Amino acid sequence: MKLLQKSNRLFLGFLLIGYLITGIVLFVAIRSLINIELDELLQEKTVYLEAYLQNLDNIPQSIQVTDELVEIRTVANHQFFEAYQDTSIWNIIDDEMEPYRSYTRSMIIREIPIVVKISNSKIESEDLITTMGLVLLSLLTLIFLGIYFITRKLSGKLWKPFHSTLDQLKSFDFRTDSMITAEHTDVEEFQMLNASLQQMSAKLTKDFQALKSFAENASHEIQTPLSVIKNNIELIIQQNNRSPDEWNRLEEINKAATRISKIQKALLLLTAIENKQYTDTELINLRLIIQEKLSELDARLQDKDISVELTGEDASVAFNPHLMDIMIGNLLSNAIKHNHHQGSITIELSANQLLITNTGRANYIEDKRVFNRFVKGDPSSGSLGLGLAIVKQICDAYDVVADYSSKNGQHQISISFPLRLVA
Amino acid sequence: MKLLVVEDEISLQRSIVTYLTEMDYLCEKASTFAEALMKSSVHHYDCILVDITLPGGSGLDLIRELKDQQKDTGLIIISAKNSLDDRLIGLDLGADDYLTKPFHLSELNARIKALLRRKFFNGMKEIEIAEISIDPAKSTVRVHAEEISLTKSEYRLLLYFVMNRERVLSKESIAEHIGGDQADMLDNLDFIYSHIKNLRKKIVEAGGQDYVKAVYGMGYKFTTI
Repeated sequence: MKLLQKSNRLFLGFLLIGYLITGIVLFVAIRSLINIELDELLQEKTVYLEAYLQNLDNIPQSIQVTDELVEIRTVANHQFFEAYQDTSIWNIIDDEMEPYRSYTRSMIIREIPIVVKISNSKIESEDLITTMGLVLLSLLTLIFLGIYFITRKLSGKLWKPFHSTLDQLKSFDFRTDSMITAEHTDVEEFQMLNASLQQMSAKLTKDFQALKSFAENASHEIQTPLSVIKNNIELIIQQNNRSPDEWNRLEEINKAATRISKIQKALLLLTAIENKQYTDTELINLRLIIQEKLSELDARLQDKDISVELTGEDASVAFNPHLMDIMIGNLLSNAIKHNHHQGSITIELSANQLLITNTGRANYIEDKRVFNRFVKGDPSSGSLGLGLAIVKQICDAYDVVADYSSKNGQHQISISFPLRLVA
Repeated sequence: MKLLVVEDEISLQRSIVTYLTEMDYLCEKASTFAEALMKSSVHHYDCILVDITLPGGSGLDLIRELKDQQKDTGLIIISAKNSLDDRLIGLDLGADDYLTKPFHLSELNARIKALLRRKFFNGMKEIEIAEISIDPAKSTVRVHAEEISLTKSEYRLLLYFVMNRERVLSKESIAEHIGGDQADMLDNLDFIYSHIKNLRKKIVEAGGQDYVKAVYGMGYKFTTI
C-alpha cells in the first residue's frame, strides 16, 4: 500500500466518524429545540383558546384553525394535568400520515371541566432536518473529493524529489563510477535523505574501487616473486650435477609455486566475473570456438585416446569473448580430465543450449556440489577444483543456466543460454 | 643478437639475463623507464623485453617511444597483469608478443627466437640441427632430407626443443607450450610423455638419432652433444 493511500484512509476514516457524530448531535439538538419551541407556542395558544371558549355559548367538539387541530372533550370531574406528545394524524389532502406535536391540558369553562388537545403539524421542521442532513452529506462528499484530489496532486508534486531519488537509487551501480545526484528540494526530510544517500553511495563506490584495486594489486604483486622462484628453479635445473632427491625437491617447489600462481589467477578471475567487469559482448559462434579449443587440447585428447563427437546445429550467442573462451576451455578440459582411457566426449549444440557428455568414473561427488569452489573430483589429482566453479560464476553473472547430471558413468553438463543472448 | 631487458624487479631481471646470456644473446638491462629510454636511444637492439609497470612511467608509453625510435626492433611485453585490455593495447601499439608472469624462461626464449626469425629471416630460413631440418614457413620437418609426418603437437614440441637446445625443459613448461594454459589443468602432466615418445619414435624410424633425453623426474633435454 502506498503511503498516500494509507494516510488518506486514516484521514477519511476519521472524517467519516467525525461527521457521523456531528450529524447525530445536530439532529437530536435541532429536534429537541424545535419541540421546545412548538411546545411553548402550543401552550401560548391554549391560553388564547381558553379565553375564546369562555365567550362561546356551546363548547364545540373540535376546531380547526389553519394548521392547528383542536379537540375538546368534557370530563366528569376536574383534575389539572398537562402533557406533550408526538403523534401522527391522517392528512386528507396529501393522503398520508403526517407528524404532529400535541399539547393536552385540562381546564374549566363556565364550570364545565374539559380536556383540550391542541396539535400542530411538524412537517416543516422535519423538512428542515432533511435539508440539513442533505447539506451535511454533500459537504462531506465535497471534502472527501477535495482531500482525494489535493493529496493526489501533492503526491505528484511534493513527492517528486523523493521519487527522483528513488529512481536514481534503483539504477545506482557501485561498480561504475556513478554517483547519486539528488534533485534540489526544500523539504527538510528529503534533504536529509538525499544527503545521507549521497554520502553512502560515494563511500560504497570508493570502498569498492579500493577493494578491487587491492585485490588486483595483491594478486599482481604475488606474480612477480613467483616468477623469481620459478625462473631460478629453471636456471638451477640447467646444471646437471644433482641427485635424484634434489631433482624431486626442485620439482615439488616448482609445482607449489605454479599452484599458488594459478589459484591466485583463478580467484582474481572469479572476483572479476562476480563484479561483472567483463562488459563488452560479441556474437560468438559456439561451434567455431569449440573446434578451436578442441585443437588446443588435442595433445591431451590424444594422450587419453578420447574420441570427440560434435553434433547439432550452429548456434551464435552474444557473450564476452574472453569469458566464453574460458568457459568452453574449462568445460572441455574438465571432460578430458575426468575421462578414462579410450573414453568419449559428445558435444551437442542447439539454438540456445550446449550439452557436453563425457564418459568417466561412476559418481564420486554429489551432483549439486560439482560447481562449488575447491571441490575436487579426485583429491589426489592435484586439481585446483576451480574449473567448474569459474564456469558456474560466469553462468550466474549472465543469467545462463548450468546443470550437471550423471548416470551410469556418463557425466553431462548442460549450459542453457537465455533467449535474449541467442542470435 | 643484442637484447635489452627492461624489468624493475632485480632478481627477476637477473634470472632472465642469466638464462638468455647462456643462450648466447648479448643482454643489457634497464630497471627504470628513464634508463630504458636512454639505453635504447644510444644503442640498437634486436629485441627489447618490456615490463608494463616500471618506476618512472608505464611500459606501454615506453613501447610508444621505442616504436618511434627503432622501427625494426622486436618488442615483447612481460606483465603481471593478465588483462585482455593491456594485452590488446600493447599489441596495438606495435608490441610483437605478450607474456604473463610467471612465465617459463624456456618459453620466453622460444618466443624471442620465433620473433627474431620472423623479423630477420622473414620466417623463411630453415632451422637445421644435425640431420633434422625444420621449415617454419611450411611447418614441415625432414630427417636426412626425408619428410616425416608429425601431428601439430609433435611439431610444436620439436620446435620448442630445438629452440631450447641443450637446456632442460621442465614437464610443466612443455605441457603449457603444447597443451595451452588452462586455469585448472595442472593435475596431470603425463600426457606429454606419449607425445615425446611418438616424436622420438618418428625421428628414429626415419634414420635420425634420438636427441631427447629424460632428466630425472624434472623434464627433458634436446641435446646434440
